[in-house]
This record gives sequence, structure tokens and C-alpha cells, in this order.
Amino acid sequence: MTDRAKIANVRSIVQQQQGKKIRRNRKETGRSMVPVNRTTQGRTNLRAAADSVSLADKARSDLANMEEAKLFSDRQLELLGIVHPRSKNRPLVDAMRQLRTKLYSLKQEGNFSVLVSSVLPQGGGSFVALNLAATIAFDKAKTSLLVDANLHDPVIHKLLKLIGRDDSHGLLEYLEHPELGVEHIVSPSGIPRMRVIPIGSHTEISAEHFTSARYKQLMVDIKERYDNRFVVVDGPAMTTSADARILSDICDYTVLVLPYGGVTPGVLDSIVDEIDERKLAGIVINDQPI
Amino acid sequence: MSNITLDEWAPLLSREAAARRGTLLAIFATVALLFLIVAFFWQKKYTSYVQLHVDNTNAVQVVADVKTALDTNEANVARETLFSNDIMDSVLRTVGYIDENSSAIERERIKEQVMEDTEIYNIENQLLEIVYEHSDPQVAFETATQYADLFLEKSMATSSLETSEAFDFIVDQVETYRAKLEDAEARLESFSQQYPGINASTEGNVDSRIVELRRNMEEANLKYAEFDQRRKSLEREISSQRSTMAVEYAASQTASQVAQLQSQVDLLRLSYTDDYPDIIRLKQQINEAIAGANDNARNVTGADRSLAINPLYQQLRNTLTTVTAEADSQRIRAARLKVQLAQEIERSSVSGKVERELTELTRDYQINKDLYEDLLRRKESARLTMVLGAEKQGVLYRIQQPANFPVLPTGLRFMHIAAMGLFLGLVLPIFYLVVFLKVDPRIRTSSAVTELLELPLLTTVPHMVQPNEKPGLLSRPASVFGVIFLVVALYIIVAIIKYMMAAAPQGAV
Repeated sequence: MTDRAKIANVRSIVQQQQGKKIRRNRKETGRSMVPVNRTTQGRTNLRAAADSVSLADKARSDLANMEEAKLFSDRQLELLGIVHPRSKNRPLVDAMRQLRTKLYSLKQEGNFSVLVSSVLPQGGGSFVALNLAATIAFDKAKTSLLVDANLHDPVIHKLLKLIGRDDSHGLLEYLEHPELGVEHIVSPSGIPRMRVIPIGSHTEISAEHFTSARYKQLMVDIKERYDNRFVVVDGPAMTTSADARILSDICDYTVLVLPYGGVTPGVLDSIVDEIDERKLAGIVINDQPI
Repeated sequence: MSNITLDEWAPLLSREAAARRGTLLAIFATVALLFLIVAFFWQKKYTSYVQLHVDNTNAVQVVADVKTALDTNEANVARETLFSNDIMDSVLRTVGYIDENSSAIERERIKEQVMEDTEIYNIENQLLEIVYEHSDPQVAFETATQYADLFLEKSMATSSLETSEAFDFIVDQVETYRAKLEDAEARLESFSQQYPGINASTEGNVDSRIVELRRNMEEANLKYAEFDQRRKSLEREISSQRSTMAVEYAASQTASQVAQLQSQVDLLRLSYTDDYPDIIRLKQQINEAIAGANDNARNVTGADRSLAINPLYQQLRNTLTTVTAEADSQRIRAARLKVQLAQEIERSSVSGKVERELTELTRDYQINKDLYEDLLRRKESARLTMVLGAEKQGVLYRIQQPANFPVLPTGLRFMHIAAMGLFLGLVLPIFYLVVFLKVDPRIRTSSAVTELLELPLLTTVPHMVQPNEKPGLLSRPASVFGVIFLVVALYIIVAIIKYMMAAAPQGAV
């Protein structure tokens, strides 16, 4: 029931539609709908980078129109397992709203960044992170930014693929390439007022990415650019990676997702011991049977 | 153990039941069908029983006059009798468990089985119940009847044998005691001839007489001592008194007269001289009085002297005479009593030995007489019991309730086992869930987070049903209802078959 399963389910539907669109566009224009011309050596190809930067700027300037065009329908969101204000799954919406409200109550003024990390792999961390970001965006006065920092099991890029934005740069590329700016990695999500930073492609997996000053600076930048923007970081599972603990240090709060009937109190206690107690916002029990 | 508060149980159970309905359904179906199979092959049991009344008043008890210790062993004794080879063989052959062709091993095996199905109960020491259980009501009935008949027959034979033995014994004893009694009687008679005056009441009289004599003698001694003392003191008194008393009396009268006159003279002398006529006259009177006194004294010492004896002295003499006589009489009495006492003591020492012998003979006789009378009485009771036993009215057991023909089966039946199967089929899955949730330590409840670990709980996200989510074969609602329907249908079908099978043989009969 994990995020991957959901996305795999919807992907076939959306891809079919997109496939049709692409074929139609090719017939009409004779070229790809996606304007970014990415190369395999994108790392050293500055021109390509400059192109993408200019294209990104252009894209941002026309953001509203583009987002409107690429928004998921309610039906698609439901298939993806993402909440929306009109959802009939009231228990899920209520649970996510409760989570959001409790997090707001932790910090009365201003925005915050929160790491959402599962206790176990496949524990629904990404699901909760995604829905938390979506729920924050219910409010027209607030926006949310979902950062995919889950090196082991990234999800966001699949979402972007569905809306045809899988060509955008991601977090790892940003950390590896100083020439890339924040604006290059922030993508629309298909959900109003919600942005995402995908994990991006990478040549090596290293935990040192998140200890770098550049990552810290990124977190400061994206949080402080807009004071109504709330940053949600989708971290890897606590038991599989040390990344989660590093990410926790940089975020304002940490939310631990506990799969129902997944771990014993002893395991949870030892995990909680490893993270800063002041930053632990609390526990979310996920996937409780109805 | 997981941390589950009381109010969390109901929702937790319903959630887990929904999540694990496949497992629960499997448990239900397995248990229900297993019980259905057992119920189908379950043999009905028919129980026939006989109640025997236990009569505790048999000849042996009458003779022995003690409560025999039958109470709790009654059933055991009956079991021993009932399972003896002769009764068991007879039952097996009559009811038709075995025939002439049965092998010894087969016979033994069947006998074991029959013995196992037989129960014997002792109901409040009044009734003995023989219960036999078999799948065929006819066999059960016949076996119970046979048991009762054979058991009665055997116990009756035993009882009459015991009774006649007891009677013989008591007759023998009566003879013995009569001989003893006659012997004691003869000895007593010869004794009374030897000592005619002695009977059982003599001994006490001698003793009391000795005591009385002794008391009288002491009394006489005391009185003698008292009178003797009085006599001595009287003698002392008399010796101090004078027998003549009158002269002194006259002399003292004259002296007082002289003294009186002299005082008058002395008074007058105070006022007058000696030659005063009154003084002279008084002096003359004094002289005359003295002279008269002297004359009197001379006269008294003469012939008229007895008139002057002292009266006190006289009285003392009289008393002394009386006391002396009394003292003498008491002394003589004491001496006679002493002689009598000595005679009595001597006599009593002789009669003691004789009397002891008499007492012994009497006691012997009395005991023999009591025993003999008691035995005679018992002999009569035993005779009565034996007569009653011969007429089969005073036997140890009699049939209180004859063997019943069992119409309804007893014990567990198809319905019971089937109902138990359905019930356990429903209860065991719940039990499984409760145990699983109790034993599994993994966190399922908010209280485990908030109370056990004291961590803040932000929210609980419910399971989201996926469009592509395919539940297991058994978890599908159609499977659940299908399996339940199937199980119930099977129960109904098997029940119908079972009742048709039960009806068939009865219809044939």
C-alpha cells in the first residue's frame, strides 16, 4: 500500500493520457513538449545549465498558467493517495489536518521546516510527508515545499513524471553543482500552492551531502524566502540510514511515522533516543486498520 | 505484552478482526467442521439403571450387636460381587455378548469393556445403584436387569448362609453360658449351707457395731474423768470447812455488842468523866455481855453441840456422795464396754474372709446370669431373622426400582457437539485475537506511545484502501459470507441425515 504502489497504479493511467498528448504534440509541432534539453553530461555542460536556468526563469514567470495546466484532478489525487479538500475520505483528511494543526501550534509565528521520517522502511514516511505538504497547501494563505531527501526510496520524481516535469533538476544535483540555483530545483507538484524538490539524478550516494554547508544554506534559503512557506522534508527510514538523524539536526522539527503494529516500544524508544528531544514534534501512527 | 487500555480493546478488536478476517474465518471453518465430523460419528449412549434397597439389619448384626462398617464400602463390596466371574459370565452369555464360539481373548476383552461401562453408586447408604451404558437401549436394559437379578440371587444365598451360621454360633454360646451359670449357682448354694448365719448383709453390721461400742466406751471414759475431777475438788473443799459453826457465831455477836457499847462509852467520855452515871452503866453492860458470852461458850461445848453443825459443810458432803457414786458407775461401764469391743473386733476379723468369698460367688453368679439372659434374647432375634430370611422378607438387598428401558439417549449427543462446534467456532477466533494482541508487543495503540513511552502523539492515520488493493482470497466479503453459509448449510444437511438415520431403525422396529 505504499506510495510506490499507488504511484505505479496511477502511472499507467496518466502515462496513457500523456502518451497520447505527446504523440499529438509531435504531430503538431514536431518536437518534444518538454523544452529542457538535458544532456547526459549535464554536469559539465554549462550551456545546457544556462539554458535550463533561463528556461526555469521563464517557466516561473509563467508559473500560474503552467500549474493550472498541470494540476492533478481530484480523481487522480485519490488514486495517488494524496488528500485534497474535497476528498470523501474524511478520516484521512481529518488525521492530516490534525497533524498540520498540531505542528502549527508548535510554532505560533512564522514558518518552519519539518522532517518526516518513518521508523521502518516502507513505513509510510513519504505518504505522510506528501499528504502533510498537500494539507498545508489547503490554506490559500500558505504554501508548502516538499523536499525529497530519501536517498534509499525516493518518490517525488515519480509524481513529477506524471505531470511531465521529470526533467527538472533535483536536490543531489544542486548539492553537487554549485552553479545551480534554488530556482532550478523547485518544481510545481500538480497540487495548488505546493512545490517540490525531487531527489534528482546522482552519481554517488553519500550521506555527506546532507552535512554540507550547501545543504544547510539551501534549507535556510527555501525556508526564509517566503515566510508563509512551510518546508516538509521526506527523509529515509530511521532504522536504515543515518541520513535521517543528520536531516533532523537541520530541520526545525522531526515527525516520526510509526507503522501500525510495526515496532516494539523498545525499538521506538531507542530511535527516539538518537534524535534531539527538543526537535521531536511527535509520533504519527500510520496505516491503522479501519 | 502490549500496552492496551480498557477502552481501547473494543475498537482494537474490531480493527484487528477486520484486518485478519481471513485467518479468523479459517479458524472458524476448521473448528466448526471438525466438530461436525466428530458429531456425525458420535455414538449415542443409552443408560439403564437398577436401584437396590440396602437392608442393614441382617442376622450377623443382630448377633454381634454392632454396626458393621458397610457405609462407604457398600459400592466396593457390590462391585466385587458383581464383577465376579460367575455373574459376569452369566450376564455376557445371557445378553448375547458372547457365544460358544467366542475365543478366550475375545471373551476377556468384551468382559473388560462391559465392566468399564458399568458404574455402581452408593446413594446415602440406603440405595445401591447399578448403571450400565450401551449404544443399544435393548442391550443396556437387558444387562442392567441381569445384573440386578444375579446380584440379588448371590447376595441372598450369601446372606442366608451367614444367617444360619450366626444362629448356630449363638445356640452354641447359649449352651456354654448356661453351664457356667449353673456351676455358679451350685457353688453359691454350698457356701450358704456352710455358713448359715452369713449373708450378704452381715458384714456391714459388725463394723457399725464396733464403731458404736468404741464411741460409747470413749463417752463413758470421758464422763468418769469428769466425775472423778469433781469428786477431788469437793473433797478439797470439805477439808477446808469446819463442821461446828454456831459458837463462833454467838461470840461474834457478843463482840459486836461490846464494841457498840464501848463506842458509846468513848463518845460520852468526850463530854463527861468516867464517873458519869451513863458511862458507869455502859461499862457494866459491857462486862455483863462479856460474861454472858463466856457462859454461852461453856454451855455449847456441852450436850447441845450438834445444834451447831455448819450447813455448808453438810451440803458439800451430800454432793460428794452423789459424785462419787456416779464416777464409780461410769468406770464400771467403760470397763464392760471395753470387753464387748474386744469381742466384736475378734468376731469381725473372722467373718471378713467368709464374706469376701460370698461376694465373689455372688458377683460371678450375677454376671453369668446377665450374659445368659442377653444371649437368650439374641437367640430369639436371630431365630426370627432366619425365619424371615427363609421367607425372603429380611434379605440384605431388595429391588427398589427395576431396570428401566432407556428411550432417550444420555450424555453428549449430536446436537450438543454440533452446538459446541458452532460456539467454539465463534469463540476461538476471538480468543485467538485477544491472545495475539496481548502477547504481541508491537505498538498498536495510542496509549502505548503516550503512556508507556510518554511521547507526544500527533495523529493516527487510518489505512487507505487502494483501488488496486486485492485482499486475500479468504478476506474478501464474498468468501467470508460464502464460507459461513457453507458451514451452516453443512450443519443443516448433516443434522437432517443424522435424524433420518435415527428414525430408520425405529421405523423398522
